[in-house]
Amino acid sequence: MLRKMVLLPILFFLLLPPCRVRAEEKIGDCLACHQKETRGIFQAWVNSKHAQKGVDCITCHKNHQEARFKKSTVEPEVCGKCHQGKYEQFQKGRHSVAWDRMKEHRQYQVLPYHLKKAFCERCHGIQNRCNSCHTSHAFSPEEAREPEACKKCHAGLAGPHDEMYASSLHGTIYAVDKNTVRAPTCAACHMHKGTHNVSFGVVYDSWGNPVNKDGKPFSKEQQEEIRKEMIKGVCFQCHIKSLTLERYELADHVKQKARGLLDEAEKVIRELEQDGILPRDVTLGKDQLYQDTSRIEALYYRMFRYHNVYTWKGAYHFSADFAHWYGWAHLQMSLIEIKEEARKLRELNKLKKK
Amino acid sequence: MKKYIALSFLILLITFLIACSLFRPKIMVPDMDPGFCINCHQQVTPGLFQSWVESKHAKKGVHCMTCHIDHEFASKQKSMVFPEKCGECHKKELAEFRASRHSIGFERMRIQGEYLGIPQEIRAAFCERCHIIEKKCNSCHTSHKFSLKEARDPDACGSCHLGPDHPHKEMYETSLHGVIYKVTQNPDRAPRCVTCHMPKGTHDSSFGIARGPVGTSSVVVDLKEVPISQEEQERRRKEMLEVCATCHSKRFAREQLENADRVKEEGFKLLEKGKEVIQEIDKEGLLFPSLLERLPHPTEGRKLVLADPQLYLETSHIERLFFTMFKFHNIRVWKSGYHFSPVYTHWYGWSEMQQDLIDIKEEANRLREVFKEMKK
Repeated sequence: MLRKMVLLPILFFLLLPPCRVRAEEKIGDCLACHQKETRGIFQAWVNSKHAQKGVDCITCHKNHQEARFKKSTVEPEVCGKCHQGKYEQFQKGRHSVAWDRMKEHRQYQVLPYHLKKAFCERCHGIQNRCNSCHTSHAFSPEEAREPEACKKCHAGLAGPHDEMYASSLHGTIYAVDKNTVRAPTCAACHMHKGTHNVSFGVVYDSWGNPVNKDGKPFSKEQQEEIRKEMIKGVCFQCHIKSLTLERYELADHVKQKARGLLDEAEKVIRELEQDGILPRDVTLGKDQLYQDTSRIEALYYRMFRYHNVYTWKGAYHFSADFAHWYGWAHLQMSLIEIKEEARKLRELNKLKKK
Repeated sequence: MKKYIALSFLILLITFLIACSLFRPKIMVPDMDPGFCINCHQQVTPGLFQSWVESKHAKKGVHCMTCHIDHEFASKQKSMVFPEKCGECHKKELAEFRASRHSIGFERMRIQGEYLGIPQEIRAAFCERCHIIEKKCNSCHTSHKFSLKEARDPDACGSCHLGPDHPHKEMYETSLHGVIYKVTQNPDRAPRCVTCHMPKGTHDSSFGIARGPVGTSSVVVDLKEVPISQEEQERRRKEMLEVCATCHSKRFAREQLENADRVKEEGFKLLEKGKEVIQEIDKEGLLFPSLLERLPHPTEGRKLVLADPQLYLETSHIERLFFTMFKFHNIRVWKSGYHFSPVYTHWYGWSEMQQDLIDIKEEANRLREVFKEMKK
């Protein structure tokens, strides 16, 4: 009896701390403050499907201490506990390696800390954030499906996918009709039937190489298989087979011709190297930096990074304006400038020797 | 006599046989009914089918075969349906379309130096995608809904009329007209593209254009490239002023358009300054590659082509600087003048032209300095 009398209070006290934590985890505790302090977030959650289904603050953020420590980040793994299928699909696509690839990139590495945060990391964070696309705390699938949701990263100089799409007939019709039966959105082609593998049907990486998300080259058969997926699943909704195949082949030709112009420009620069006018083995293309190079390399950078991308990606997105005017025409004009720059460098070099 | 009878009999027989062979394809038509097409296409191209279901065509009994005739014919033409076909019902629209510059879009493109300078196998991905409008009513009201609402939206025009060489969409969007329309979506409050260029639904999109139409030339020409008279220009301006008068006093509207005329003149004057510098450099033998070292211009031959139809490839760098000046920036100056977009006419246009001129002059100085020995 005495033993019991001693043990019970001990047991009681042993159980108390976890109980207290659990008390803190009550949803009411979060809402008591956050209803006032972060009204927007609270309201977005109230209107969300999560709220209707009883998914509350603690379900994802665990507790106040952990949420604070992580600055409220919730990793895809946490979302994946309920959305397992989507999580697995996400892992198959290039979004899931965006952060890793960014970290390996020389341009990222040479940026000052604060610039890294304000520049690259804002988009490449998608690897670790489902709420890049369906933003907090509404997490609305409707929002994520809109081309606008993709736009916040896929726009601008280095990858104007949004602008290409908007200037294609697909984008035009969707802008007017808002009807995916009439014309595809980004998600209609790249996340066919709601798959979260955004690399569905896409053969090339950002640099135009036919490789998988881990950089392993696709065989010819694999490339064909991937393309077939897209054509059969998506294009045939509205287009006949012969026309679709023709369009793809056309874009292939465009890509190849653009590569030809890049090669021509590279040859001009390599010849300068051989003649001792430029240092040996300058980096051109994928790992090239936009800073601290010679002017002629900088001209090549713009060709490779901007105009080439507009040309070939513009062609696959059926934007004549991007493929031709922003792309091809500028590739040609940059090539003229590179040749002229090379000629002047040679002449100046000659004069120096005299 | 017997000979003649036999001969005329033979001729009759031949005529009959020819007639039979001519009419045979038509005999195939009754074999097809829309059900035949829909059976497959409902599943094979469901998006296309659904669009048609939602269309006015479907309600009025215009079905696959009305336009595509039969499967074999459609296959052969890759499903294209030409304006003549649409014109069988939409007669007035076809006639108006024929009077507009849209109806010579493809033809004009084919004789353009720029087009000829692009490798043949990729031309279809560039110029042809828009210039095909000559042969496709569904450039604007797209298949298979052929929606009027869609064709009237500025976005419908925007899929071709945008970008470096003629940013009509961007000019409009940065004008007060475009801003008010964006906010209100009410064509009574502010005009859309079609309000001015296709008033009362005319399909002659060259309506009221007095100072154009091909952006890179200061001369106003008709569809056959013949310069139009002063009187005709005045008539067209009056036509357009009727549109402006829906909201503006005619005196005010005329003042605005005449101001744009002056802007246009100034733009072309500035262009001449750039030309002079380059012509001088050519005389001094400092162009690289020289006119003899490069391929002749596809339509102009071996001569210095500055402004239309100048090419953006395989010229000297100083000419390429001029290309940007005339093709991209001068167009913004004057067309945005008429579209009332100060940011395009001034900042994307005039200020860029002035900077192009600085670049051209500096390039000329450098050529003279670096290649002293080459100088004639």
